[in-house]
Amino acid sequence: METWLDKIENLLASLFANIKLVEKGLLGLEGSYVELLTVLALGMLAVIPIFVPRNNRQIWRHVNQLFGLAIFVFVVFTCLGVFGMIRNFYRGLHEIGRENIIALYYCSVPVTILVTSMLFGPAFCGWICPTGALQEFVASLTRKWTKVHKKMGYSFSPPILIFAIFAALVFLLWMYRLSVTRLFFIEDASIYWSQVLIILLFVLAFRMREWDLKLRRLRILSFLIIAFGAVMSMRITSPVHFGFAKVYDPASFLATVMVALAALAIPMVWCRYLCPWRCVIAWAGKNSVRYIDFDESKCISCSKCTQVCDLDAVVNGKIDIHECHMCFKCVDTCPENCFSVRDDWSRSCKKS
Amino acid sequence: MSGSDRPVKQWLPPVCIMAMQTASYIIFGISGWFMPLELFSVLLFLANVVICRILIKGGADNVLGSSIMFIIMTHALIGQRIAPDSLTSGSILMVNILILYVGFKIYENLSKLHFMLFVVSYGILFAVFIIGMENAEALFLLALMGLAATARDFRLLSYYWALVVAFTFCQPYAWPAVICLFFLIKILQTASDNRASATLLVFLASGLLLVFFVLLPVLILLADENSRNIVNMLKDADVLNALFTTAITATCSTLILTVLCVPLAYALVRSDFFGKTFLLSIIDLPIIIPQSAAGIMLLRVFSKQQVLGEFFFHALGIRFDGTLLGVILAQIFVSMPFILKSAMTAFSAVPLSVEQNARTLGASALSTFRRVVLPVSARGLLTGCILAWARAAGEFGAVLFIAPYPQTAPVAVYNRFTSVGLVETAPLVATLILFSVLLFFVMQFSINLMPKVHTRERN
Ligand code: SF4
Ligand code: SF4
Ligand code: SF4
Repeated sequence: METWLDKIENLLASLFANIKLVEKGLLGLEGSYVELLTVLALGMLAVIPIFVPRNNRQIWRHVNQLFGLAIFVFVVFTCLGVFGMIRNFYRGLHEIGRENIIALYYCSVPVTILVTSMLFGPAFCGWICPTGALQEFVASLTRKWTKVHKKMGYSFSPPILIFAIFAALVFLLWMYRLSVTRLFFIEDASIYWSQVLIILLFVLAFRMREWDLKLRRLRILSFLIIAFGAVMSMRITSPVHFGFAKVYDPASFLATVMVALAALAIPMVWCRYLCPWRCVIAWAGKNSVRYIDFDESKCISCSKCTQVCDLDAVVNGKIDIHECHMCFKCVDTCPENCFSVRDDWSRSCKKS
Repeated sequence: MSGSDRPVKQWLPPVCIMAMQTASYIIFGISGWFMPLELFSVLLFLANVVICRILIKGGADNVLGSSIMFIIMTHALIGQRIAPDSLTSGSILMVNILILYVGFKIYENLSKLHFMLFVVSYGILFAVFIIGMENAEALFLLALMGLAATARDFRLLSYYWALVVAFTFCQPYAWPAVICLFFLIKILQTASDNRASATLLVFLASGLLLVFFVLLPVLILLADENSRNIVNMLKDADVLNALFTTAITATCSTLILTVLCVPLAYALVRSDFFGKTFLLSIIDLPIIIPQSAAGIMLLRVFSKQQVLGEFFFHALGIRFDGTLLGVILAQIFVSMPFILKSAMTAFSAVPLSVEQNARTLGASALSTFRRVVLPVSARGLLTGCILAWARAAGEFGAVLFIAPYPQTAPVAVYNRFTSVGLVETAPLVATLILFSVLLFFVMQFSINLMPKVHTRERN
């Protein structure tokens, strides 16, 4: 009786060898209000998409993203990695009524993001999120080439395969180095996401066209993993975000590098297939007040919007709200002005 | 609040506010009450200049813009006083603007009721966080943001309030409370979607309270345990044995009961005889008798030195006290009424005409029973079996007296409670609950696999 349970436990332990368990949540900097800076900053950044002028909107957006990167490097650095968010959120909710300051410390960023998503749509992704920004900036280096790949309908591509092999090599070398210094084995689970990412790249090299939509469901899985880790008080962090928080944390940093590399081959690959926050944001923004309205009668089916969208969220004007990042690229490129950004306060939340 | 309720001229209110701000900056600055040249003050001044320009150009809603300007001005003047530093003050300002913006939009676009609810919610939040709690100003801000996001929709608002209530008032057990409340809200909302009347909704809500009375202890017990405790529990040989014993004995007694009771139930339904009412009420006896009394009664009859027990022991070498047989005996005793009753209900739902048809078509009485009646009433029978199984597995009183050992799960819980106490027993109970709930779902699911017979449609 006891042996098979032991065996299973050992097996699990060996599978998740690089997941570190923490007994307590990270302690907040007591009495500090530095977390308010995050709220403030996020709020300001979320307000900007509302006010920016239509022309030059994309430039404003990139500026905003740069701010996002800067804020997350600095603030998150001081806040011990706010983006272990799901776990921290879970902890923070428990502290309400006991340690209010700490509760605030843990809840501020998730609440801000959820609230802005519910009101203004998933603009966090397109305008603020440092990981999204990182991927987008990196992807612009190879834009010329990925555009062609996309136009061909994601056929099998040797270049992606080469990229995948290249990324895998980087990954393995890095891991080798880390294992020599023995740091890797005590670090957190970022490695897991890097591994998945690498495997994903190989899959995508062969099967991108058929499997794209199915693979996007992986996001739900990663959300479940993180939520489970939060409830079990395991330390499973969303690595990329964490990578910004602790640049000296080699595992997280490796994950960040992997994402950047992968984004060279497939723009926004992390957002498409792995980001656990994406599910939450998409869910919150499902019936947001602000949304992109599409006037079908004006559309000439030129598919320019489809080409410009990094996430393949729009096909000839029809936007998939679960994928859209509200970057307004399609709005700005459409030659017929089919899209308009609308506010509808009476948009009710029926089951959709 | 902005004094610009009737915008006679578009430029008037913003310019007035600008003038007020400049004047107060100068006056208060000279009197030394606050520093107009601090970064924060300057920033807010510039922000107001920008908004003022936009408003004069007519680029935005005048009333809203002026109110925002007013709020910014107020914060510029007293912000330093109400908050420890400019960061906090800035956050408060931001949230205030958000609230104002949302309030305006709700007033403009939605019904009066929405707006009323919004204002009332604000008031209650203020009472809860600022007056009722210590150090919760910052949480108040977060709560306000939540309110801003949800106030436009009654559904969202009710979920929001469920969250607030759960995480402030039910604190250590917030998650069970969240589950219960969300469940309640969802039920009421779908019911009202399906046009249930107000009376029905009230009935539903008050009745559901009782359900939550059942649900809450279960959830709380589960919420207290983490999964590691439960796994550890499963490694305990005692516990595992108890679980197996329970499963095996309950299954045996259910099988015996099924074999004996199902034909009996059929006979009782389909035949009439002297004393039937009396017999039917005797069937209920095990329900009426307290379980411990039932245990003593069984002991009196079946234990080694007693009436029947002695006979069995000497003639066949079987003993009941302290053996699995005893457990099964007790379980059969207490769960018999359940299976008999459900079987009778199931059989009486089979129309007599169906049977008669089968008979006229040449089937014998036995094969009619086997091939017509049994399949038609399969669901009811299975439900009866499951009830009986659950009753048998959960039986404590009768089993304790006749066979305290080998332990079944309920007895194990009792033993552990008396030997080591409440805290140590909780993980075991959580484990048991998890198991029972899982089993129950599996069984309920298996009912759905049974053939479904629409007797009405046939007629
Ligand atoms: S999907 Fe995730 S990683 Fe991508 S922009 Fe959104 S939050 Fe950031
Ligand atoms: S870019 Fe505009 S016109 Fe062209 S397909 Fe998209 S929506 Fe239609
Ligand atoms: S659909 Fe349009 S707004 Fe959404 S992500 Fe694609 S380009 Fe951006």
